[in-house]
Amino acid sequence: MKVKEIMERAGINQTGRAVAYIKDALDEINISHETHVTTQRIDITADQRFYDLPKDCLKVLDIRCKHHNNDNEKYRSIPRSIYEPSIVDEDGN
Amino acid sequence: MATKRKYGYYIKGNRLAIIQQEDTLAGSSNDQFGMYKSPTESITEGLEIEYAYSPRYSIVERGTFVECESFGATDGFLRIIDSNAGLPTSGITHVVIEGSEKFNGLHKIKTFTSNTTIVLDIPYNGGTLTEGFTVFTDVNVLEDETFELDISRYQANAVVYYLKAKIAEDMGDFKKTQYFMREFKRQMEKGASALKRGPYIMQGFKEMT
Repeated sequence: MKVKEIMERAGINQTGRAVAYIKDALDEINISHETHVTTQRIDITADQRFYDLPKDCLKVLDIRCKHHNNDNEKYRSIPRSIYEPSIVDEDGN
Repeated sequence: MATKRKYGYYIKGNRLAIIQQEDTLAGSSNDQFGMYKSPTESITEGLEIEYAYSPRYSIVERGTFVECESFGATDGFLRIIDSNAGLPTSGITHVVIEGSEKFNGLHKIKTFTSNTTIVLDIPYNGGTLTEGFTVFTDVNVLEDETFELDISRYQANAVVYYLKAKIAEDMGDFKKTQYFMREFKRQMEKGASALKRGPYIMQGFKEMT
C-alpha cells in the first residue's frame, strides 16, 4: 500500500506529519511483532570485545557465532551473559 | 583446523560485547582457564546478528551498485571513496551501504564531490578507514506519498489506526487515542496469530544451559 492511500484512509493531508507517524508505526510494529527480519555478519577480531550493532537494528533477535560448541564452522546461538565477566576489556574497544 | 569454542555476549549501551571462554592451558597452569574474556582470535564473518528492522527504504535494483574501498572525513562528515570512479555525480538523494563494519544502512547524500567521492550526511571525524563495502545507488526512500510500503494490506490497516491515534492525541482527545491504539494492537495481533495454527510445542536445546 502506498503512503498516499494510508493518508487518505486516515484523513490526513500533511505529508511530513504522516510520513513521521508512519515511520513511528513501522518501528512499533517491528518492535512488537518483528515483521521484517534480517541478518548481518561481522568479522570477529582478536582482543576486540565491543562491536557496533547495525544502524537499522530495532530489536536483537539472536546472536550466533561460528564454531560455538561445534567444530564444523556452523553458526550457533550464543547465550547472553547477565553479568560482565571479571576479566575486563583493557582498551575498552 | 577448526576447533570448538564457547562464546557469550552482553549488551553495553549501543554496542554488543562478545566474550569467549578461555580454553587454553598455557604450560602447567593458566589462571584464566575457564573464564570468559575478549575473543582470543580473529574469525572472518564469525559473528551473525539476527535483528528486526523498520522497512523505511527499499533497494529498487540490486544490480546497480558500486564496490568501494574506504571511508574518510570531509569537513566533519563521512566520505565514501571509490578509486575506480564509478560513483554517480548527481540524480540521487540516498545510498544504502552493505558489507561495512560500522556504516551499513541507509544514508543521505550531503554533496557530490566527484565520481570518486561522495560526502554523506553523517558526522564523522575519524581517520581513513580501509574496508571493502558495497554502495547501492538505486534506492526508494520513505519520504513522500509515492513510497510503496513493504507491509501486507492487513498491516497497513493497523498503520491507519496508528495514524488516527496520533492525530487524536495531537488534538487532545485521549479517549479516541486509546481506542485507536487498542485497534492498532488488535489488528497486529490478529494478523500475527492468523499465521499460526495448532498447539505450541516447546523443546529445549543443549546450548540453553
